[in-house]
Amino acid sequence: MADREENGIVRQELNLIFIIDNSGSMSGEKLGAVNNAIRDVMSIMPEIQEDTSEAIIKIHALKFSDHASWVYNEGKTVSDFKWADLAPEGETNLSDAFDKLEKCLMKQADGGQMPDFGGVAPILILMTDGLPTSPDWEAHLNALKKRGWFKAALRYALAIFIKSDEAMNILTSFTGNPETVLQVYTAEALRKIIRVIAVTASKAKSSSTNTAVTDNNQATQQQIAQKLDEEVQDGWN
Amino acid sequence: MIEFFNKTNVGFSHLKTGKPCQDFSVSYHDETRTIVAVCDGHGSDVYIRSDRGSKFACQAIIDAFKSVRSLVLYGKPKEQVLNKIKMDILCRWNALVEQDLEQNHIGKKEIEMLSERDQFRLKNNPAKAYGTTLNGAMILGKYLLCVSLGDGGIFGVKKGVVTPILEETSDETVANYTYSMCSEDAYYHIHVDFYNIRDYDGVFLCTDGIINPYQNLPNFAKSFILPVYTELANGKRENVNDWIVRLGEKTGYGDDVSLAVMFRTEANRRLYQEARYQ
Repeated sequence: MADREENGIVRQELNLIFIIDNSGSMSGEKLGAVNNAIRDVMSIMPEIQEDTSEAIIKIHALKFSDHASWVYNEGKTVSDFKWADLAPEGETNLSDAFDKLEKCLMKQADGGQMPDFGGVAPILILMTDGLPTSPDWEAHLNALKKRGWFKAALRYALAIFIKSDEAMNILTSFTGNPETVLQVYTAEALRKIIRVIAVTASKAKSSSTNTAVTDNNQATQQQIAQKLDEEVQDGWN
Repeated sequence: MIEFFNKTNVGFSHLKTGKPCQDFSVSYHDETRTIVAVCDGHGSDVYIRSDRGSKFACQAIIDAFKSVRSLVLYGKPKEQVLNKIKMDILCRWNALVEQDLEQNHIGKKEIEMLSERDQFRLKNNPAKAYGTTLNGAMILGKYLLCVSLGDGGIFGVKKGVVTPILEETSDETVANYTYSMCSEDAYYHIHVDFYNIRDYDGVFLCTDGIINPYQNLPNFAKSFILPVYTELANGKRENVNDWIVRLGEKTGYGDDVSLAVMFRTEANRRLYQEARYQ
């Protein structure tokens, strides 16, 4: 009983989940910017993990085009997560992405990736450039919304070069809050936004496991908004 | 013969912030029954009296269970009996909260550190200040009666196999979302049931501060429940006491920790022998 491992006590897991549209419309600058942004975030995550003694950060990446699939079958630690650039292909099957995400957000005993007991609310970051081509996306999102871990999650959506209200509304349905849908028009902005969200949320989530989820999410969103404001003042667009 | 044990310890996150221990545990024994309970007052800022809330929940369980007669458990339709017990616990808890609010009004000073939103929530529903979960169990004659609301849990042990009792199957209670005695719909989330005590060698009641660091049932059973059971069966209560203290103050997740156990001594000897031979 001298230390955690001897006791069977394990560190909490903080799941950071990227949901990435790699459909044909993302080709060129958009997907290139996403690939660079993820790589950039991963370069700083070891430092974040080192500062975070309370939780192990697990990183997941779900890509979706004609179908959705996980880059890794299970969440990887910061040191094990290696990013291989995504290539553009096919259509935008958001329904399948929501299905795969729903299964991930179940308890491990039920076949998902979330702990059976306790756990830290995950961070979800959805990145897309337009409307889904799967017409039944709403039914799949409604099923996803019933999952407790989805409700608890800190949810962001990055609207890459999106100008249509319809597409923005879909992303707002996902996050449940228009303030957590961020429009991005340059590669540099995308890189900085992903970095701010992933880093700030990972720090905040992993160090405050005993506060209420809703309070913690609101506080984290405020921190992210403040950091984003600071970045804007520094001039990034 | 029935043996029982209960222990609560403050978690290190509360030690750091100077918050009181919001868990409470209790045990009661007389010639006819043994009752144990563990309750976990909520930790968020708005629950300013949740340490009292968890104490009141333990008291409500003890008082409600003491009023149950063994004849009642098989004399009437089961659902009717269970609903009555559920309502009795809820009413007793609410009465204790109301009494406390009458005697100790929530003053300006008590809420001045809260956000406007939380102050508004307390004005609308002062009982929210006392928000808590509850888990309780009683051995009465051949019956094991259990009640549960929110996180934490009750686990039965039979021949070294650990199974959850009254497991919360809702997908709503993840991360630190939990059902609460202070919710308007608390009645619908309280689970009560009774079992034949012969189906269990012992019963463990734990708040989530104990359970969560083990992340899943197989690990929890192997790394905590069965070793603790073996220690208790051998009369090494001090070891279990020290374990709970360490779990709260050092090795756990920083949350308050509470454990209560009831076990049949004759069954436990067998369990110990099995454990020793593994």
